[in-house]
This record gives sequence, C-alpha cells and structure tokens, in this order.
Amino acid sequence: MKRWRRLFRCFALAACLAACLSAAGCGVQEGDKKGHDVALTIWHVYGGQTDSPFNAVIDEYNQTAGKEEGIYVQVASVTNTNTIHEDVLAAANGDPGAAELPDMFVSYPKTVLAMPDDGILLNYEEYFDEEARKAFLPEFLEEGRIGGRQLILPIAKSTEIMYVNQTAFDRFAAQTGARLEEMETWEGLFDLAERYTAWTDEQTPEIPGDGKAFFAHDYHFDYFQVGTEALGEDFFAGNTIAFGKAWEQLWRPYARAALRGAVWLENGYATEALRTGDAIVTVASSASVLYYSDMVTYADNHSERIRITAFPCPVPSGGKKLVMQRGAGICTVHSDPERDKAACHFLGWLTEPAENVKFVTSAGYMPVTQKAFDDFLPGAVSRLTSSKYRELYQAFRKTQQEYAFYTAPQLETYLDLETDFEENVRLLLMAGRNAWREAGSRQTELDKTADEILDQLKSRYA
Amino acid sequence: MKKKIRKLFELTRLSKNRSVSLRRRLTLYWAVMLLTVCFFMLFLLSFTGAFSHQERELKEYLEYQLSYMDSSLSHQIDDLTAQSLALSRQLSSVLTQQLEIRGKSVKDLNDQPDMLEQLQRAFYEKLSATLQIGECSGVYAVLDATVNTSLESAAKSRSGMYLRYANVKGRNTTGKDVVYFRGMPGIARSEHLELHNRWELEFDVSRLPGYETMMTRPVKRLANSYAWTACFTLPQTWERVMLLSVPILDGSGKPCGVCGVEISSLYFSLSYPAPDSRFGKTIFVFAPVSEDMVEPGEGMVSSDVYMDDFPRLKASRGRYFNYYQGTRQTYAGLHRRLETKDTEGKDLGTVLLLSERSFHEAARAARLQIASVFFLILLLLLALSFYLTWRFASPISRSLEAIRNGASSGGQKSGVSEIDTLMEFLQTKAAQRTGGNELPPEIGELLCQFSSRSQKLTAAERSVLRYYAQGLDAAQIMEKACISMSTVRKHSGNLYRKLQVASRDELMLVIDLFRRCGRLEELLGEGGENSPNNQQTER
Repeated sequence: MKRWRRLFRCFALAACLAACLSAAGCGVQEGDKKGHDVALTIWHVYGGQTDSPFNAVIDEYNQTAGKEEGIYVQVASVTNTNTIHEDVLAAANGDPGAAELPDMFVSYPKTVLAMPDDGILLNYEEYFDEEARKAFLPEFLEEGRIGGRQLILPIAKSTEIMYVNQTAFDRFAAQTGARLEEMETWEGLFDLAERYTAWTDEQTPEIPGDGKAFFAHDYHFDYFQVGTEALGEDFFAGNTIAFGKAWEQLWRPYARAALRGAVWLENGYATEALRTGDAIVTVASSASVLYYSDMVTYADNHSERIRITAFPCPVPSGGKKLVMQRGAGICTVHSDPERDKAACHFLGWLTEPAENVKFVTSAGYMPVTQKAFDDFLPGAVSRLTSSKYRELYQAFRKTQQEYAFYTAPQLETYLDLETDFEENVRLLLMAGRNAWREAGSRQTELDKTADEILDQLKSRYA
Repeated sequence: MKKKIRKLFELTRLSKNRSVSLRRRLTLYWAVMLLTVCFFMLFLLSFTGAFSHQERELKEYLEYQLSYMDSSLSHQIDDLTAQSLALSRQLSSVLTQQLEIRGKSVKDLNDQPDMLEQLQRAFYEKLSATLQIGECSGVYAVLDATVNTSLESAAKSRSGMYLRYANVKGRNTTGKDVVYFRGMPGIARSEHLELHNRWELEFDVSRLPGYETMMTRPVKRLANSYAWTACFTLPQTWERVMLLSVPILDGSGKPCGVCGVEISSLYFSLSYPAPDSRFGKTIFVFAPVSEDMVEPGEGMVSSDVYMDDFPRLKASRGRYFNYYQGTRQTYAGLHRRLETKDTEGKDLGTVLLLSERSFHEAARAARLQIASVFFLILLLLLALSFYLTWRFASPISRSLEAIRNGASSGGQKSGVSEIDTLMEFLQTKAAQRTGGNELPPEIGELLCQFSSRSQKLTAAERSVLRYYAQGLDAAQIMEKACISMSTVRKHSGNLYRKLQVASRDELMLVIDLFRRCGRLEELLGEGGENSPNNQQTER
C-alpha cells in the first residue's frame, strides 16, 4: 500500500510538471505580446483636424504607462460631438453601413439618452471606487450619471467664452469709440454689432449693403436657454420650449442685429467666420481656442496676423451671471473585463491631476478634479507661452469666480430640440433678412419682421 | 454507449479470470517499454524543436495574407488611378473650355479671383463626384495660378480646391461629412461645407510633395504620368496622407496643375486592419520597397502594435521569409512590389511584418505544448508499464506464497497459465503424499501391519515410543519420563520386539515413514507425539 502511495505521488508530480510545461507554452504565447496585449480604439473631439494635443497625450500614454500595462490606445476618429453622436447611434441601432463602435468615445448625456440600450456602456463605478470618484468635482461627475449609473466619465470641461479679433476691433474702436465693456451684456453686444455692420458698409460706399457681420455664436440655442434661466425663468416647458417674458428681452436685440446682417447665420463654426474675416467677435466653447488661427485670410488671399483676446460670456442685462457648463466626457463600451480594465486604466491615468492639467491647458479646457484645480492649474497657466491661451485662462478664472455654471437638463428630446432650433432660427432669420432687404431695409419694418419670426418660432415649438 | 462501456468492463473482469501465458505478458510488457522509450525520444526531439515547422507555417501564413491584402490594395490603387486620370481629363477639359471662352491662358488667371472662383465652382462638381465614388479619403486639384501675385508668399501659393472626409470610420465612406481644406470659402458656404480647422485659401506648393515633379516632367502619355507622393503630414494637422498626383494639362498638352486623390493613414489602417496571427500581431505597410530595403516611414502603416519610428528597414532573405532590421528590433515578413511608383521614381509595394521576437516566442510556446503532450503520454506509458509489471509479478508472488504456506489453491487461478500448471502439479503431488488411495499397496500394507502391532503396546511402552517420535534418545527419555535407564531399556526392548524392529534406527525409520504419510497418530495412538501423557510426563 505504501508502495502504491509512493508511486501515485511520483506520477502526480510528473503530471503537474507536464501541466506546467503546457501552461508555460500557453503563457509564453500570451506573454509574447507583453509590449501591447490590449489595443483600444477611441473616437474623440479634441483638436478636430488640427494637430491634436489629445493625440499627443495618447502617444505619451502608449509610450509610458500604457506600455507597462500592455495597453495601446489607437485614435480611430477625431471629429465633433454631433458627428460622434450620429455615428454612435447608427452603430448602436445597427444601421446598414454603420461603423463598428470603438472601445471609447467622447459623448454628451444626450447621446447616451438617445441610445436604444445604454446597457452596452460600462458603469465606471465598477472600476472607480468611491474614493476615486470623490476626487472629481461633484457637478462634473453628476452630469455623467444617467439612470443611477456613472456612464460618462469627465476628463475635461469647458464653458462658453467670448473671443475677439482684437486687431480688427481696435480698428473699429479707433474710428467709432466702441468699447469692449459694452459687450458685457448681450444688449450691448448686439448694439455694437449693428454699429459695426453699418461702419463696414460705409467703408465701401460704392457698394451699398455689403456691411460685414460682427458677431458669430456657435450655440444660438444656448444663448436663449442660458439667457432665459439667467433672467429667472424656465426655458423648458416639459419637452419643448417655454416662451415667457424673458424671450422678449433676449429676442429683440438679437433678431434686429441678425436681420441687419450683423450676426453670422451661415452654417459652420464661429471660428470659420473669424478666420475669413467675416466676423470679429464670437462666442464659442473655450475649447475652440485650438481652432482659432492667429491669421485671417481675406478673399484676395491677403493674410493678416491678428491678436485674439478672450472674455467671459456676456449676460442679459439685469440677469444673473450664468454660463453653460460644457465639455463631453468619455463613454466606454463594455466588453470583457480585460478591455474594461484597460480602458479604465487609461482614463484613470488621464484624470490624474498632473496629466489632466497638462492635457486641458493645451486644449482650452478645465480639469476635472479639485486637486488639479487647486494644486496644478495655476502653475500650468503661468507657464503658457501662447498669449491666446493666457487670455483664455484669465477669462476662465474670471468666469469661475463670478459666474454660476448651468448644466443642460437630461431630456430625451434635448438633442432633437437643439438641432432643430439651431437650424430653424438661422434659416428663419436669413429668410427674414433677405425679405427685409428686398422690402427696402426700412427701420420701421425691422422690429415687425423680428416679431413675425418670433411668432413663427412660437408656433413651431408650442 | 453506457451498455458498451458496461460490456467492456465485464469483458475486462472476465479476462482477468482467464490465464494468459507468461510469454504473452512479457511481450506486452516489452511493447509498452519500447513505446515508452519511443515517446521519450519524441518528447526530447519535440522539446528541442526537431519537429518544429513553425517557420514554414509562418511563411504560408504571410504569403496567404499578403497575397490577399496586396490583391485588395492593388485593385483599389488601380481604381483610384483610373479615377484620377479621368478626373484629370475632366478638369483639363473644363479648364480648356473656360479659358477658350475668355480667350485666356492659365497665366492670365493670376490676380483674377472671380475667374478662379468660377473655375473652382466648375471643378467642385468633378472633385465631389470623384470623392464619392472613389475609395479614398480626399481629393484635390491645384492650378498654376494665384489670386494675388503681389503677396510675399505668391511664389509658392497656388489656387485650388481640396476636399477631405472629416470622419472616416472605415473603407465605406458613404454619407461621411466633407470638409473644405483648401479653396474659395464662398464655394464652401454655398455647398454647405464646413471649413477645415486649418483651412487656407490656397495651397503652399512648397509643402506639396510631387508638385514640382508633376509640373516640370514632360507628359507623353497621361496614363504613364501619375505617381504617388511620399507620406507626409498635412500642414498644422495630425493627419498623414499620401496623394496620387496626376498632371492637369492645358490645351497644348502641357502641365498647368496637379490633381488626384488622397489616402490618409487613418483611412488606410481602417481599410486594411492588420490581421492577428497565432504568432502575434502583424503590421501591414504600403510604402517604397526594393530588393534590400522597405521604407515604412515614407508610406502607410496599419498596425495594432505600438511602433517606434522606423523610417527604413533593411531586408535580408531568409530560408522561408525575409528579415527586416529596424532601429529597435527585427521583423519577419514578406514584401511585394506593386505596379506603381512614387514621385521620386521608387517602386511602391506592400509589406507584411511580424516581430521576430513575437514569432520565436510563439514557436517556443508551440514546441512546449507539443512536448508537454508527449510528456503526458510518456507518463501514461510509464504508469502502464508499472501496472503491467505489477500484473506480471504479483501472480508469481502470490503463487510462491501459496506454496510456502502449503495452502491449497482451492481451484483459484493466478492468471498466468504456466503458474497455474505448476500449482496443479504441486497440488497433485501434495494429495498423493497425504494419503488414502494414493499410496502404493505394499507401503500401505506395511503401515497397517505396524499399526496393528502398535495396538499391543502398553501405555508406558507407547509413551516411550512417543518420546522417540519427538527425536529424544534414551538418556533424554530417562530425564523426561523420570524413570531409570534400566526401565527405558526394558521398554525399548519390548518396543523392538512387539514392533518387530531390530534397532532404534529402524524404529526411527518406521516413525519417519508414518510421519511422511501423515499417519503418525495411528502408530502413536491418541494425540500422537504430543499426547497429554507425554506432556504430563514432561512436567
């Protein structure tokens, strides 16, 4: 019996050795990709078609922390949130020709709300414990919490900032006495806009009615939304727009300026208008600083180097200082634990205060943790070499100190409402402008036309 | 299935009861030992890689994948070339027409923004159509004219249009947004196109690879005058692109511009994702190649592996595939030439690479796995041989034990036919020795005579006889029985007389015979040599 036990032990040992050999073979086969075991794809919006600083951040991760963990992040697309929104929904709905969803993508809550099944998204609470989550600014984190799950992780936040082609403005101011302080209120800005259009028209007396636009806004919807809330009224009535008294205060100066041609109503971003000299003041996301060129190229290919300055967003007269909180976060498409963990490793690295501040200050964003704000941001801002960026962060600081941040509500119809409104208000105003010009551009008709357009809007969204 | 298994077990049990010859058992044992040795050799050989054909497998894999991807890329390039040539002809036709109407030449387009814009409007339709039908990420056309010759940058600034897809997600570009990278902004606005974040009105041709070559090279046949640029980064963007350049010809057949299509590195990597192999992740490259060099840095690379820069790889031929030496590591792979060149006249081709280290590790892993399988089989064979040894030796041991114990087998088989035969013989012999009808008649008669004579012995004489049966001599009997020597002699004399034996020796023979026949009790009486009388006497 003893002999058999001895024999059995020998064989068991030998069998274990064989199993180890086999496992070593498998282990080697897996571990040979020690450099990069997991390749993750990401769709993002930071930088658009420019030399994206986020791509540089990703490169740095791949060469450092990512390399140690065997994680490689690949940029599969750099566009904008609306494009990503469409592509994500197309993929999630399985539309023909839709691209495959990446592992991570930049998203606003409106995209997640519009998805047929947000169960495919990773709940970050599974990988970021309570202590890790506490490090984030609560209002930033809360914006990404949908249906009781943390589906969007903030990595950079922005707000709306007013950018000015200071070179062109100084020329205008020198001849007309215009002051920057006038643009602290919306009413002042639109008034200045009308004066600018008239002034540019006067520069070419032989060509009547060729006055240039003064102002371009990337988010007309936000102008009314934030403005209404700043005046103490609700912008939304259920799933649609409430047209209260605040609208009258906001609408009239805006519409007048637009009908006169002082507001840029073409499609495209405000940066385009500024880059071609077709507007000299814009309100856009702070992150659009990446897209503002220091050169304006005119129709005769003549380029002018300009100085861009930045200021807090105007507010309605008598209203509180309120500004839109912007900046999408990152959603992760849930797959296997290895990939989920890899994605969270990357995002954890990205939101570490030092790395986060390094990234956000290269792209015009705010960091997302209190520690980053308090301990790292001031130093990073002081080291900025671009005057454009220094201006931006001064405007940021003033906004932070003096303004309250407004977060858009999580309505299922939000995106549709926003898209529809943006398109329609511009089209209606462009049509109104043409009609008013054809009718002789009479001052008396201006307000009437503006009111008619407002009535059309009300009937559309009532 | 269960029935069959049950039947198998039954057969196994029954087979245990059958006797198998030693010869057959030994043969089986040796066969197992030989197999064990064979598998041990196989294990050693597989561990050292003697059976390894990983390199051949890798070669087959590379050939197959490269062939497939090369074929796909070739088709795409052919189509794009044809589309670009067609685009060039269309743009040339539009240009010639427009100039003829106005009685102008290309040079007269300088400082004519309105005319240039009109031309660009006419170009837009053709460019847009080419972009939509072509499998590419962009399309462009640039003329040898500028909108403002008085500017400092006029020498390198040329008017043109460049349309690109903004959000390429894969080879299928249907419905993708187009951005306006170069051109008159009024056209972008009228066509509802977004201006690229780094839009400029005109091309800086000093940063447009291949432009000078295309503009200065004489054109004999348009179909032979195209070329791909090296991969370069679009100014102020993160994107790397290769352009297929075709000259635009004026009415006299001279180059007056360049047009073509673009493939971006992102579009390339999405269209040709590098396949995973069991040897590791591969890298697919479209770049200048020659016999001993490939230049991924000048071309497009598709890979899931993070790569450090390696502008050039020196190629050397191996037995099954090539080796490409980079700055940081060596790659195994294959490359092929395509029927197309770049603007510097270098041949372009496709390359499929795999990290050599990754391959060796995968091959080692495969060898280890095979070796472990052989090792497991070896273990099983060793276990089987131990078992067979035990089955071979244990019947022999059991039978020997049985013989030592003198026990009857009771009809049980050992399972070895030779041993069973021996046991049967021994049993027969034992039965013959122990009596009954098996003794020879004269011996039986003799024993009966002695037995009847012993009936006449007195108790004392029988007692002395028992002492003699225990092997004692007269002196010992005297002490044991506590009688005198004369008494012993007297009883001994009576014993001899009654049993009719002449001496003590003869008496001992008779006792021994009775003992051997197992009938000693008949001679000595009740209890035999160990009767209570003897024991009492001993006390």
